[in-house]
Amino acid sequence: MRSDLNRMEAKGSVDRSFVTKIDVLDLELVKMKKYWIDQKAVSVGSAFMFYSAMHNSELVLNKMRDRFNKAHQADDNPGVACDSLLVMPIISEVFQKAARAAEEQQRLSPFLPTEMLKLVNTLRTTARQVNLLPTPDEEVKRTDKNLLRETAVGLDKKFVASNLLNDI
Amino acid sequence: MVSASVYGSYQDLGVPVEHQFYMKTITLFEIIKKHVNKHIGIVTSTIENQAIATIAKAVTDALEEKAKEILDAESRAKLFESHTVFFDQCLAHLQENLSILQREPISQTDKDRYYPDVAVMYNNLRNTAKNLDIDQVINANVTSRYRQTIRYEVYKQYEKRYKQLLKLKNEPVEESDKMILCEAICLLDYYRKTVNPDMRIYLASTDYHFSPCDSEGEVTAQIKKKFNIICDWPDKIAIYLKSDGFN
Repeated sequence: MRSDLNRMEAKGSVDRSFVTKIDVLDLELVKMKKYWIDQKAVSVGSAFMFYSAMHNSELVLNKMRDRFNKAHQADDNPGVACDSLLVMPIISEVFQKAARAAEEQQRLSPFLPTEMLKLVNTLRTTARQVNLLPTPDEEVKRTDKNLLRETAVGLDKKFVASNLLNDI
Repeated sequence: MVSASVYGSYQDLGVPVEHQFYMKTITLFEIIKKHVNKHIGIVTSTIENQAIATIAKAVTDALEEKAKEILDAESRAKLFESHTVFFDQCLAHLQENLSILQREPISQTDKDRYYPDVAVMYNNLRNTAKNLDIDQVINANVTSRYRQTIRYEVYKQYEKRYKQLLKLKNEPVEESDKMILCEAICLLDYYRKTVNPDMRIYLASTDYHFSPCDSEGEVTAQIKKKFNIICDWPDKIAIYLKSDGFN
């Protein structure tokens, strides 16, 4: 996919058929997300880190797809290809690490979830800088608000009860 | 930084929070934001990484607890989704808060120079904490005829007085916290040499390994005495900044 983006950048023109490749990758991410939800061989915390990485990659890909679809009308040609070139290597690394972790399961390196967390942060920071990350409002839009509030309330108790806010 | 970021997410979702932790950080961030061009708020990579890890730990701990009660795949998927969305919201607020702070690079070699002094200080304090026997302190300071009647009350008072040391006894200071202190010392040294010899550094923290508990603590006092770093709660640092002219 990177070579496609390089070509588009060099040509100065966006190829709309790239959206099909985004769809294929997106499908893989959805499968991988499901895998980590169902995964019981590793701790829930570790599974969540990989799930969250897949979720964030998906968010970025959705935004990318949207921009590719509108590139010609929105004068985003070849801007979206150049921007995508910055995040695609990170998504690729995220996916490879998650796939490796899926193979390792019980032999999973304890450092891998932490590495994933760092990668997610790098992905979000980079994507935000090049307008490939949905706004927080857009991110929340698709989620069940009541469940989200419930999660927040539960976490509030967790934050205070476990004194986690004492850490920094 | 963690509480300000979490608080921002609660605000977005319209979830009321009553705990004082959150409110303690708001004024400080407001002052830093107001004076953003003066670069008064400083952050380092260690602090940033620790903040992310702290939020992640809280989210995963909460998820692990809830996941135990859930057996069907659909509910589990919803649980994962709501937790990741909330986590992302916190990360977004964290990035927003980080954007008003000056990120200072500090070389590992410089940090390592101060590490032995910092480690020795915490080791000594921990030894003091281990040897701290409140009963003995009461016996030494309260006359025998009152000891029995007021022991419980006095015990509570001493417990409060030595809270910081007792906390250190039960929870040894993390390596990353030692590194944060080393970084603050490096920066103070650098600023005093290059900017102003009277420069002060405040370390805003809700961690008892830095900031005082209810009363002036031994750890905070030692950090100030040995390294000239003033550690306190974010709301107190906001007051210090105001008195320094940053209204």
